Amino acid sequence: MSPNPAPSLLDRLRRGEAARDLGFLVVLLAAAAWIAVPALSGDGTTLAGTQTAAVVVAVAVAAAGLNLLSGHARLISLGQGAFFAIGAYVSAYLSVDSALHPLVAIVVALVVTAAFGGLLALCTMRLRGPAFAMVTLVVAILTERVLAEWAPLGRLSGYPNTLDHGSGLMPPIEIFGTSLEPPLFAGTEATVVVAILVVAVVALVGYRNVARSPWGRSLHAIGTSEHLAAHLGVNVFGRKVAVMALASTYGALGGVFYAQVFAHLQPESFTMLLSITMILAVILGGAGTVAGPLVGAVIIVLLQRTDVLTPLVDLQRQVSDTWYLSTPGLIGVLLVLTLAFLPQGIVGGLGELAHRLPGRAAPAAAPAAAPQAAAASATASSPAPDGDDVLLAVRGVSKSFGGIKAVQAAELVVRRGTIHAVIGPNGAGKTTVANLVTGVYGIDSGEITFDGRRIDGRRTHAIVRAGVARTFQTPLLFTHASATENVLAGFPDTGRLPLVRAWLKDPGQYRRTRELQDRAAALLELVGLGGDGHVEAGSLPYGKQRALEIARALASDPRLLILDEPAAGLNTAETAELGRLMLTLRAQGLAMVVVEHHMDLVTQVSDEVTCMESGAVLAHGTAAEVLAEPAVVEAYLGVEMEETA
Amino acid sequence: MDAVVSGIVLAGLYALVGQGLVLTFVTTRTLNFASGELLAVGGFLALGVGSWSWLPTPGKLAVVVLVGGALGAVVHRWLVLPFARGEHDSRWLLSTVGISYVLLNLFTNGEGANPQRVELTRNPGTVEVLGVGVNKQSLVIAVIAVVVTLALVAASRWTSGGVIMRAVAEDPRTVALMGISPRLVGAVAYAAATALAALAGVLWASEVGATPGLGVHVLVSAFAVAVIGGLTSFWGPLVGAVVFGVVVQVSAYELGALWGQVAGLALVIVVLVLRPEGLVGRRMEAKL
Amino acid sequence: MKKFAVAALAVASVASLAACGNDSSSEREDGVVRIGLVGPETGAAPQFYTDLVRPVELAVADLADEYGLEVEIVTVDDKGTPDGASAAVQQLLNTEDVDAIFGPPQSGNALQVADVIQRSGRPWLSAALAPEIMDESLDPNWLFRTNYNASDLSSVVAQYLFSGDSTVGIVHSADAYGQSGAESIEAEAEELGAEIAAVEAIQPGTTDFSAGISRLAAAGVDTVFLAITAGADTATVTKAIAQEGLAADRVVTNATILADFATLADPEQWENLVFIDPRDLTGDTVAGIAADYEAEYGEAPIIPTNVYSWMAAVDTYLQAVAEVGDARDFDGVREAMEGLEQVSVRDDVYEKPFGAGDHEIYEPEDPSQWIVFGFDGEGALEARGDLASCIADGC
Repeated sequence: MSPNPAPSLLDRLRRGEAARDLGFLVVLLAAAAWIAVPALSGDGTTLAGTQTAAVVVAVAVAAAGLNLLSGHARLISLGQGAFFAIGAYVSAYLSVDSALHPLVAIVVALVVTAAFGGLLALCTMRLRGPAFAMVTLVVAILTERVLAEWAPLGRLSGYPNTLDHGSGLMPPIEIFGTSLEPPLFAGTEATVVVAILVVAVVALVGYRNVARSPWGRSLHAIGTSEHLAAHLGVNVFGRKVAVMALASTYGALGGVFYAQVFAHLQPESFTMLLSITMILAVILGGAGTVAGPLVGAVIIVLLQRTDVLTPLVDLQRQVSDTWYLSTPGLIGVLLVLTLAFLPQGIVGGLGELAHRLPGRAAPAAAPAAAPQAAAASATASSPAPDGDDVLLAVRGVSKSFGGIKAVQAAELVVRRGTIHAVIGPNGAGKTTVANLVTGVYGIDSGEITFDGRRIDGRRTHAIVRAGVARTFQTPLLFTHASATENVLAGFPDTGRLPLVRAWLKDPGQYRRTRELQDRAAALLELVGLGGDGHVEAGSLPYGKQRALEIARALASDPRLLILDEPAAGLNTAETAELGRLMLTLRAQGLAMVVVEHHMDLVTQVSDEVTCMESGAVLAHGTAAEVLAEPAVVEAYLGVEMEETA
Repeated sequence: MDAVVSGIVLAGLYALVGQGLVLTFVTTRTLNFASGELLAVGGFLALGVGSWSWLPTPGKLAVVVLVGGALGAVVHRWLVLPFARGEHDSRWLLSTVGISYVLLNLFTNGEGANPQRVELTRNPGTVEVLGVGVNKQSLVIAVIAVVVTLALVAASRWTSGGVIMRAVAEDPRTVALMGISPRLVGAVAYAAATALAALAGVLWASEVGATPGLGVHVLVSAFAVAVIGGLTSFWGPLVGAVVFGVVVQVSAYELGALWGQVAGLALVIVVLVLRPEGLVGRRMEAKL
Repeated sequence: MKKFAVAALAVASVASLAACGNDSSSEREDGVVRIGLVGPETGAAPQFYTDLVRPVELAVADLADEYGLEVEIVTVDDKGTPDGASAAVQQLLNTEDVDAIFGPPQSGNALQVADVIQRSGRPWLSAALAPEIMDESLDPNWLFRTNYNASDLSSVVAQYLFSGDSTVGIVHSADAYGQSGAESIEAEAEELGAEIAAVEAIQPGTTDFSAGISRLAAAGVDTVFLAITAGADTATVTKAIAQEGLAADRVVTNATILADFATLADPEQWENLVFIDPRDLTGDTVAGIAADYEAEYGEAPIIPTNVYSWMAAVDTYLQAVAEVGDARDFDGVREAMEGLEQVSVRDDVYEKPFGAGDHEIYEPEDPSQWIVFGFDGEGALEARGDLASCIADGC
């Protein structure tokens, strides 16, 4: 245990967070300065390089947005290029044809693109994986067609063009009496590059804030399992729409940059290859990592637009002048190699490497905040209204799946501060009852009330927010994240922090982060994982993974905790430890439903026991009563004997 | 009527390639985004074997189809299997996109972007079907697509192969316990799918010439028909192709040629939104 | 932080490699004429790059001595993309400091850089067809086009199309070239008071075009104009014409079909097909160029019409430089090009091709300058006569 007094440790933590944020900003500003200085020189020889750098920035911003969608939420999009194109064209059209002030035009373009992305997400919410990728692919192809065919956008003459507008270039933005000149003409300072860099730095800082916030954590949860995300109190539907809109906005912003840099748009620039480039930047850099898409964008754009790969091409051509790969083919090879050898991407892979480096022992263990106090705050339940000690009531609930009756007229009443065990052979419908309570499935008949209010028909995240938390039959953890990160995902912020606050990261967020860190440490301590905060969840032994899931569930301040076979796979000592933990929690007023086979545990902790068989309640009472029922014995005899032993 | 007949005939090519997509999806839950380029490879193979005068045409075709099949197995082993580890692993999507860029680039550099005439299985001219002039080659392809579909449907219904194929995707562990290797089934599915693509490549290259980009447009449409019909049913591509072909042709007749394909692609989105499992696909239970 | 540092290192190394790649420019020598070529060396259509670089090399080899010039050729890859062209042109203008720019050959890429090159004030020679590249209102105008402009071709074709009592339909590629070609035909038709019965677009690479043709047939079209970029698409259209049984008296297209149409089409598709081009494609000059090209590079020209046009560009430019005596006197060279008495491609001679307000080598006004080509029974190209006589007497 760390002997350090708590305040100095907190100080260090605070400095750590702020210092990291500042470090990121400094890196971005340094890179921006590196680009801006030559751009402002007006020297013609810097123009090609400045354009390339500007494309890197535009693609990096678009890829950053895409990373939230495809890296964090794992909704793979092959259509980010379409949003890039829409941003570029709409902003150009509104400022040239509609004669809006260019800045207004840009804002409108971003809003329009966000709305389009959100609308698309609304339509495709049911889709995942290949189907979602397919829709985005189709959108990208259709966008390409529209740009090439729709007369108001100049079609293949480009936008603007001499025939329709008298000039092939957009006029530069006039702001505060200066005009923002593109990097196109020798002798002219490319001032628009500075404006782009400033906006890009702000956008990327905001992106990083979101990615590292509870909001970003919720995306990660959606990517891991929507089922899990909903049980963390995340409105999965709303969040998917929001992240798609956000990713589209970033795509559009990249497009706006592009339009300002080149001052002329040709449909040929916005082909499928652009979308592929962006997803490649995400994958290559490291999907789901913060810096990944930025690193990936730099590398991929430089590979595409400069002659770095030429020696490699020449080398091949010495062997065969007909069968060789040039840049696009080599990028294809790079993509496959990255997927094979660096599935976490460059940044993710390096992170993993850094983790494995010897000498990086787990930093000082969690602060010695009193676990009891934290636990008490975690279960601060309101005093029961007089005469009503029922917290959860499942009454006459039935559910069938395609003709198979999974649950029939189930009854389950859980009183405040008690533990109610649900037992029964495999397939008895125990887990289904748990899923009905948390709104995973709708019920066919009957009613479910929680704290006197109907919750059947409400969606999972709403039920979770009302005070129900649960663990799963097979632990659903972020296996690549640390134990602390896993617990942090359990706090209500994951589902409730507004996007704007996550993006801005106001000082309150810093305070809240520290507070959550402390509470997470306390919860880990409570479940016996005090020293494992920095361990990757996937590498914890099975018993500890179970405990970690419980800690995460407790983070949401539940009034009812549903444990689905918490003792499965635990050894005797761990089971006993689990029993003690449950009793501690009950002592603090937390009510629990425990679906369990392990009869020792059931007898040890439960106040009431319900036995189910074939979807129906077989018996109900105290543990002793239920286990004495002949029907229960029959249901279990020979079937689960080894487990009850 | 013209539009309907020509739409149905046109659909054959897409159905044939789409059938390959269904084959791999049913067995491995993956799709080969390089199918278009492998189709083009079929065209170039036909160009290559075309000069072997000692081999009769069916033999040449068999060579192309077999080489295509072998390529499919290679793609599965090296580009799909390592990138499809578990339900959440979608890297196969990008690895097959990656290899499609490699093939496209390799053939553009090696063979040039201009079309080359392929004589193998060339059927020039038109023939009347229900009073509508129809391209002979398209008709041949459509007939083959129907035959392949019927064969696959029959095989999946009346042989153990069909059961195995479905089971492999739904419960690979149990299937493995039964002594059947899911990897082998996947490899066979990829080989068959790629052989179909190569066959389509030969037939289509004979019509429009072999080019590296031969498959790009075909693949987009093949995806469309497979999605519209449903990726989980062997009837899917054929049903999807007919619907797609008719929608494309009718809108092309009514609105202008260019809007045909736009309408077809828009239909894909509509189907995915309203009926993600496709017109004849089976709704997959969400397993939690 | 450690991983961030390593990632930054990786980025920096790629970036520095990329920066090194840009530093390859050589110092320019006095008195050497430096021509900058920009084309899609690694794009999807590298043939446009190949048939820019090769003809320029051939023509420079022929002409440099004749004009007593020392010529250096600098090539830059535009990667086949508009933004690639933008960077490539900046490199030619600023890093390489070339005296003139040839390319980019693809219309879309040329459009992206048109304003930039114009404002740079250096001679620009182009063989791209899109009319919008040429902004006639500019003074000075630095662009000289040694190919026909799609709208000029269209007005010539219009003279032919509307010369009889015909119902005209248009099929155009859904790309820059096809769109502008179709638009200019429509404009010409309006001017002539003629009507176009139907216009259809074809997506490059489309597998079936019967719907488009049946719409033409429904409109009663008997004369079809094809503004199509790739010969393969022309084959798709002619196939559809045969399939739909469209009774077209004349199908008029352009020289792009030379690239690959003949390898794909069958004799019945050649029958009524004609195209109009200002170059004598069946003449000795074209045959001689093809022979030299093949001797030098081991294959036939891929886009013979581009080869021809780029050779004309080289003669235009080098002649003017020789006249002025200093390639760095950009204004002088531009004015000299405007005033050239003649431009030759080997034995083919164009008298007074340019003028102060005329930067197009081919004129649409004179039908006798344009030749109608068709195919014989074996699919070989044959000249049917000049447009004037074809309109007057039919051919």
